[in-house]
Amino acid sequence: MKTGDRFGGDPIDRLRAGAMAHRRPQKTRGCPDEDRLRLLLPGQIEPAEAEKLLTHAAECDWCGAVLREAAQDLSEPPAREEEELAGKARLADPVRRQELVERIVRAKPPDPKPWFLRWPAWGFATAALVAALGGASYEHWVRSPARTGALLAAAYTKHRSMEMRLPGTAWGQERIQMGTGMSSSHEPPELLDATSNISRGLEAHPDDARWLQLEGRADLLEGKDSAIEELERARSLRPADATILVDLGAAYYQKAVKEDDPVSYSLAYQRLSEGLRLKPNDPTLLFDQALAAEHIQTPSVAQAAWDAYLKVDSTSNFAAEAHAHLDNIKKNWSNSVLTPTIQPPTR
Amino acid sequence: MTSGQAGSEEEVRLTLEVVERPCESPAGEESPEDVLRQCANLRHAQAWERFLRRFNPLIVATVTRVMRRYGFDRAGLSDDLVQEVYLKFSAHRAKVLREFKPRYPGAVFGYVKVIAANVVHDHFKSKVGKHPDHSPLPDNLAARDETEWRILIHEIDSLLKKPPVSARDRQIFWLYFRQGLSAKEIASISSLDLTIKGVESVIVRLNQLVRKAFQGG
Repeated sequence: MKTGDRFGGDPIDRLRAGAMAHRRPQKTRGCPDEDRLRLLLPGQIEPAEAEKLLTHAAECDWCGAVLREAAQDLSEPPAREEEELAGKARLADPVRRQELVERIVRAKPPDPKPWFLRWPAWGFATAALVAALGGASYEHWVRSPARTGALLAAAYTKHRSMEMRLPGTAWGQERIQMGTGMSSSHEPPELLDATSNISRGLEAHPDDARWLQLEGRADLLEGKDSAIEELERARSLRPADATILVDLGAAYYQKAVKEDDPVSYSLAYQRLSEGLRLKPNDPTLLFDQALAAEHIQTPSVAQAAWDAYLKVDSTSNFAAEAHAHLDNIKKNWSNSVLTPTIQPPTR
Repeated sequence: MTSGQAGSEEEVRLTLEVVERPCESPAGEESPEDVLRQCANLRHAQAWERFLRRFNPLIVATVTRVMRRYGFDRAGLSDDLVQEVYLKFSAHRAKVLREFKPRYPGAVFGYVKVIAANVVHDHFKSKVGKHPDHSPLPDNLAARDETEWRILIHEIDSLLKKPPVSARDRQIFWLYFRQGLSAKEIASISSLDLTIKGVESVIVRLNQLVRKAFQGG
């Protein structure tokens, strides 16, 4: 080990001293969700993902600090003072506990019966009048899949946490600080409303592909791996639905980004290509497929994919992103003729 | 002291005993994993009552500890966050409970603590916009130039990427020497599946390997 030794001194001592002085915790786009990092402690992460998370945390000063603090907070048993606080806490009172239990248990899903059968007989006359004015359908509309989809689209646009587009979404500025998704309390109100609707919808219709798709899309926005399973289930129920394939492609893409996994990039590309066979000019599918192509295809294929997108949309904010990707590809391609696949663009 | 308070203190003691000896459940009482499983049914009021009784001291202690990282120590906020933890457990048809995998005896306690900690971190990050202080550790007089340090890291890492060093041992080395986790903290990462002695043994072995390689030049 000649090079390192030129500075002299014990390498381990120098390593430790340098870590003390130069450690720079700074979150980056590649950092995983912190909630998942902490789940390494109780061993709740599958081995392959755990391996990637630990390798990242060992080298990343931000994630290393998250893991260190979590280990400090969670591995030590409660101190005497904390025990005393627990004894004085609000929920140490059995009556308060009972109230909370009732609140949790009472939050039942809606009665699966149609709304008109749930109404008492005396209310029918009023209901008819309200319905005539359009009011009776309001609640039904608020909880409908269409409205829930619109809520998720609004959440995506306001707090866009991924490069991929999702069905029915308007453009939003990507927020790189949110990592790979939105963790619970970061969730915008639209996402909270949508997930509440989805819970109710799935309670009443557990095998409804629309609700399963919306659940998968909500999980995707929250950065949860369960999105893929839910969307694959929705796809098995409605294989010719291109919007499910968009969501699924985006879910595999996000997994690939998070885990740097070429197989997931490939699956994302496959699902999006299937979608394009059903809807060849769909701008969302074209955009997302071009993104996936950058990671697994040659530069010429990725360039052709972006060109295809720009033929159907050349003026929107998404088109501006497409132009930026295209410029990157051209630049990298001309700089590196030896590299068959291009690097992901940095923005 | 009221009887309620006396009961609470007894519950605290019982819970902490269970935490220290997680494999053992009091005779005739269902395991904590069973309680969690039953709570996945949101209509099971008795299971939820048992869940709250059994885990509340642990959740309060975790919430309090993590709150302090952000410089907060107010009992009212702690109570609100504890309540948020339970709502997190019950949200989305108790999805968090359904996702739990009992990979080893007592894993449930670590899981409950992590979920509670995540709720507190999320609260401060989103509502207050704060992050815990991740600033570098205090300067050490022995520290050399940063470039030199980064070259050293690169060279050691090249050494650790070669056999016979496993990927897991390399992770442990960097968690210890770069990220500053103690052997005990590393051993608390269940995904690594090592005892404190196991971690220490890896550190000693790699320490010797690195020193030998640098001396051997």
